[in-house]
Amino acid sequence: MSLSASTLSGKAAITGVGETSFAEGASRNRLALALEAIEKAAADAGIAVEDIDGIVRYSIDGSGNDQILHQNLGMKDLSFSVEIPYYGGSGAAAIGAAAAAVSSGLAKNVIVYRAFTLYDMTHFAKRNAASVWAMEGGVADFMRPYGWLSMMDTYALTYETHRAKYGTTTEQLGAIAVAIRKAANRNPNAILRDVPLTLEDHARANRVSGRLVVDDVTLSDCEGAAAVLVSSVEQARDSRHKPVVIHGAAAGLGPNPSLNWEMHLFKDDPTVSPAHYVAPKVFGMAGVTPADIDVAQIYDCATVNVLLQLEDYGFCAKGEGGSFVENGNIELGGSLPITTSGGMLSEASIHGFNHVVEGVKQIRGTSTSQVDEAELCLVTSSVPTPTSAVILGSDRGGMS
Amino acid sequence: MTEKYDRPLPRFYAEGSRDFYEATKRHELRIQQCAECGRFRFPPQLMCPSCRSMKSQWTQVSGRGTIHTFTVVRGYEPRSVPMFSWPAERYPIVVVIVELPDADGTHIVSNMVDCDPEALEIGMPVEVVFEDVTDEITLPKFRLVDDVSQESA
Repeated sequence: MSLSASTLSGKAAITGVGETSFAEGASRNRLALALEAIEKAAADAGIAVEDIDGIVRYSIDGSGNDQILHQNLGMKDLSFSVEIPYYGGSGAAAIGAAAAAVSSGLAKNVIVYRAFTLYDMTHFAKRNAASVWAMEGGVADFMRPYGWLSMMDTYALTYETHRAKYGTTTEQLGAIAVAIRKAANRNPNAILRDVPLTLEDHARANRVSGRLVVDDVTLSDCEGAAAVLVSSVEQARDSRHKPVVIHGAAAGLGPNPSLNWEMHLFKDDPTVSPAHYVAPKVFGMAGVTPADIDVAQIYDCATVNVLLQLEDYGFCAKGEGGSFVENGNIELGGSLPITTSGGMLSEASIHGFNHVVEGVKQIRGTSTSQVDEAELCLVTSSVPTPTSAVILGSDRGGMS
Repeated sequence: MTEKYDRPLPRFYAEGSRDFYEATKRHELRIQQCAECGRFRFPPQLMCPSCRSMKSQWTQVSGRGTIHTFTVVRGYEPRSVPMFSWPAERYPIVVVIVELPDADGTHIVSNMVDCDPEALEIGMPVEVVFEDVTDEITLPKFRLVDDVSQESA
């Protein structure tokens, strides 16, 4: 195990989780969604809401700010609040920030949450500091006039580079979509819980952009919220749940050209995502290797991005993601079950915070797609944005 | 230009976008280049990320390049998460990212014109053509270069 004295490894834990129901369409108030998830997470942890003293939130979230939450929740003494500006890449980085606050004494009980509604993507994003790149970085001037208008176009452009370089097939993308849908079919809170998907369905579907079909990309127009409470590992040992310890956390963009999100296609090689640079940091902090990971919640805004991450986090060599995902290898019973809640492809699109909650459930042993004796779970956030990852796991009794 | 052009146009939000489109209006493809170390960069930005010089120039390039990647956009659906959408008759369109070898392999985004979208492959040689879409705006587009003219070039 790593020498963790100088890092946050093993010092903080997730003690509570809360989720709202998920739905497509927009009907609920985004602040109400956030408050519901936060109250549930505190209750799950056995902490009084007023004792929350830290808040970490994402960019492009219109549910309010630290003052509005403080006011509504009647918190006694909010001491720590930050916003992570990585859009979908924020989730794991937000957990890392909370763990840093707890392990350094800045706060004791930090809530990390994501509330998501259609409004956040269509309106709030335009007024968010994290979205300055879209205007000033050249998206409006150098991309939109040529008809590059949807997220799916970005993923199609990325997939084509991987296909040309490594021969990755659309059937292999289908294996990812099917594996994640099977998990959603077991999860009663998943939006697509009752919608089966087969490899044949995927192969027959209309190709919307490039070679991609709708089941290669995230659900859209979702609403829902999720929250977790991060506290000290000592407090976690006294709580009513099995401790879920934060063993490693890392974030980053990688070296220049550090262009993010859609603009990663201006880079020399889009088949390498920023996860390539986050991987050694997160595994190094936790003192483990990819072979030690029992289950992974891989951010799945698109099947091709799952493929890139499996390679970049080192579960297989670069270029071998296609064969890695075949034959049920990423399903329950395979060598690395992934995204076991149904993820963004099939559970709900809330910028990947459902992945964090599902990672906690796997370590507690309460997932609807439970991996036997899951001790270590990698949770990742979006690529190709600035990305981040955490390694959650069982308590190693202070030896982590 | 008898019909009103109804697609997104450059908005001139970004650093250097006026320089780029002033050149295309003259049917020249110019890419920003560091005036100190010579590194090309696109999209344009204030500072050179190699030597941190703030001095740059807009250097004309040949407009010859290769397809780095492309997608044939056949339409959109809610799950393709469109940030905008166009009328169905505008599709299919080919969005292409072109690698420009005489600008350090810099990538620019454009459309392929006069081609069979289903026959395109990464690595194919292309050359720029200029499309005057409004009185003010000219967009650089690309077409395939046949092998014979590429070899003789």
